[in-house]
Amino acid sequence: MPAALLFALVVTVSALRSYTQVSENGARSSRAIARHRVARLETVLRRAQEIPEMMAIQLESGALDTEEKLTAYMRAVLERNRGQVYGSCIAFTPSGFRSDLNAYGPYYYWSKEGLQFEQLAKPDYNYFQWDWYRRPRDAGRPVWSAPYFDEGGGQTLMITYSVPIWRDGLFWAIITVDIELAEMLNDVGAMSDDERETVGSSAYAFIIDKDGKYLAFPQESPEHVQEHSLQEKNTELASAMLSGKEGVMRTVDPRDGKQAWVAYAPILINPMSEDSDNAPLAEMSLAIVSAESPALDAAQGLFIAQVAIGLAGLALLFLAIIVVARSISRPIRELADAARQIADGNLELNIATGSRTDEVQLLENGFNKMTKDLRMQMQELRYTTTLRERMEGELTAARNIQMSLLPKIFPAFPDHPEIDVHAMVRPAREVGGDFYDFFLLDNERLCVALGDVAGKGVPAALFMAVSKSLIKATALAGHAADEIVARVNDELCEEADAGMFVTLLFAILNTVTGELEYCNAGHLSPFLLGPGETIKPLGGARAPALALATGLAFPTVRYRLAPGDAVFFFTDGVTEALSPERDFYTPERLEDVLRVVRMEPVGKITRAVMNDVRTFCAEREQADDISVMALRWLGAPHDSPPESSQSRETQPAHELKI
Amino acid sequence: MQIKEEKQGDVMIVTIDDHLDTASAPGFETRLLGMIDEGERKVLIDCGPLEYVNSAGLKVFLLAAKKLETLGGQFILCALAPSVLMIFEMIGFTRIMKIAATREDAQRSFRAA
Repeated sequence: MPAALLFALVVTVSALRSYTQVSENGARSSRAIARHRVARLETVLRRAQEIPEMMAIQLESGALDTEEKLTAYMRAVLERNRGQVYGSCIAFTPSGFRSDLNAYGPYYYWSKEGLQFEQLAKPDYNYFQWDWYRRPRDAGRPVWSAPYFDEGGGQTLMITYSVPIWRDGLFWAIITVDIELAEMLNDVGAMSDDERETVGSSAYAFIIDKDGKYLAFPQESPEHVQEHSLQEKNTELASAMLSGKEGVMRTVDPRDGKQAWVAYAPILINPMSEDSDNAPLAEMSLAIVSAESPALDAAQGLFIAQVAIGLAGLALLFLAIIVVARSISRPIRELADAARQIADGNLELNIATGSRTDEVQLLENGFNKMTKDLRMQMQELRYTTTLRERMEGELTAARNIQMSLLPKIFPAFPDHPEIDVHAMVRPAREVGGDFYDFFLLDNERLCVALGDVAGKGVPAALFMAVSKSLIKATALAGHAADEIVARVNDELCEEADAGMFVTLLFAILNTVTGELEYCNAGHLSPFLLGPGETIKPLGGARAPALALATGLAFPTVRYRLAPGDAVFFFTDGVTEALSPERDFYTPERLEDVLRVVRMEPVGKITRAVMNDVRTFCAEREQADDISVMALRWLGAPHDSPPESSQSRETQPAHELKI
Repeated sequence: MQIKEEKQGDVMIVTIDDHLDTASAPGFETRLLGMIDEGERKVLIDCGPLEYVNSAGLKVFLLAAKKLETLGGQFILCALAPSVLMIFEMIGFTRIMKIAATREDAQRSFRAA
């Protein structure tokens, strides 16, 4: 839009400039025409001046001493200048021509009937009093009359040139020449076709006399012409023209009152005189009026043409802009449409706008690349989602394996009130390999195990399953505790290939005697919970973790439990549980909890620890499985009293060296 | 986890970060087993900065040790902090892995082998 405005401005300014220039050209042309007219008129008048000068020379030479000679000469002059000179007279001073003649003024003039003669010296016409005689005589030099309408013989517009002549230094006579002006002025006032072309079809010329009266005005009769003056119509122009200078002005056309350019020039009739100081009189002034509209026809035409061309250009420009904008916006609209479709999920879309615009092509390529990338990412996402789901499935499977293998029915041995066992596992999201187990080897031996397979996920869960099964199978096969663990280790070493290892607490409790034989294979020490204040870790019996190497020995220790004593097994998931501040749960905190709940039923003990760990971890995601197991011996069963006396010897529980 | 590696002669010395747990173990495992696959046969783990290791981290050591053992290479850990050494002992790693007090001791062990 600003470009269009600028363009319009340029067109207008340029058109206006042309318009001004052309109208100035028009004004200059009319001025030139005016000058030319004036020069022509002046030439004619100047030539007319020569006639009386010649007559004066003849007269002064004395050749025309008789009336006959004089009149013959005058006739000859008029004949010779017919058409130009209307009449001529020689008016002598009293007794100037002949001493007997008081006045002598022969006057020849042309009429329709031919050359007429009239003696101006007549009783009713005293020419000595007339201006045409007095003015040149008084001035002592030739004088032009003002143009006048001759109501005598001529009935036409005339101008008279009067030349005084001298004999022997004394004023002798006046020679006049009447020049018919009307025709000449009309001729001067008429415009040729060529001129009209320059200054406009309706241009015209008019001439005024020194009083502002019209001497020539188109389509007006000479009589009528003299009755009006320019001042009536345009005083401004009248005073300018009567100043005796030439010029051009824009003013009111005296003919129709519209604005027009008027070029004017004075018609200066220089009397032949040595007295150059006398300013030439502006007896007449000629004006060329070019009515504004015709004078500016061309200019206006040019102006209109330029504006039209400008507007057409502007229209074309707009058209071009619209076409270009369409050709750009169409593909962009298509792209926008495509973007919407893509947003709606149609990633199969391939855009081909067919645009040749570089930017649009770039955009198009970008779009296609984007959809392609999106497509690929969607596929990838779908793939990873599937993978993730599969993995979640694996994790769930692993957790299910783990959980399904663990005995979860409590009380576990309703037939054995002397023992009470409770265990819990809280698996992590990505399951680890914690496990526990308890089973009776026979009526009086309870086997308990709590293990932790290093690593996570399905391999750990499977390894745990294998470990647990091996332990149970080996234990049920009736081996001693150390033997059982050693065998399990050897078996596991064959299975383990991925750096798997298992830490294990393995114990066999004699439910009759309260004797606890126990082996710690790389595991955290369990706690012994007795009636005393102290929470004692069950030390000793240190052995390496399972599955590290074959052929290792797994020593055991024996403890004698007092009735009511409990042992608490746990995995490092408890002590290494992290708080939101990344602090460990620590064995100390565990001891504190156990101290409070040590005399509670085993189920309460395990739950109390689990709850405290959960409180400690708060929102933090559990990183590892958490397993706890509590086993309490309540003393020898009544139906099968202790057969051995040693059971009471060792209270509270203490280590028995084997 | 930041792992620094430097080669001294034919011994690749790997210095590990202060924590080797479930989060950092997989990256360490990839790196460690990767260098063995690339041909490193003498690997020394400088556990100087190590403050905490859990079973996931221990598993990496075990894997590397077993792998190098089958390949006829050597795997030595050195500069274990007392708490870390305690865990190693508890698990039984001290029985199946070479553990040196300092780098120099470890280098001597490599040369002696």
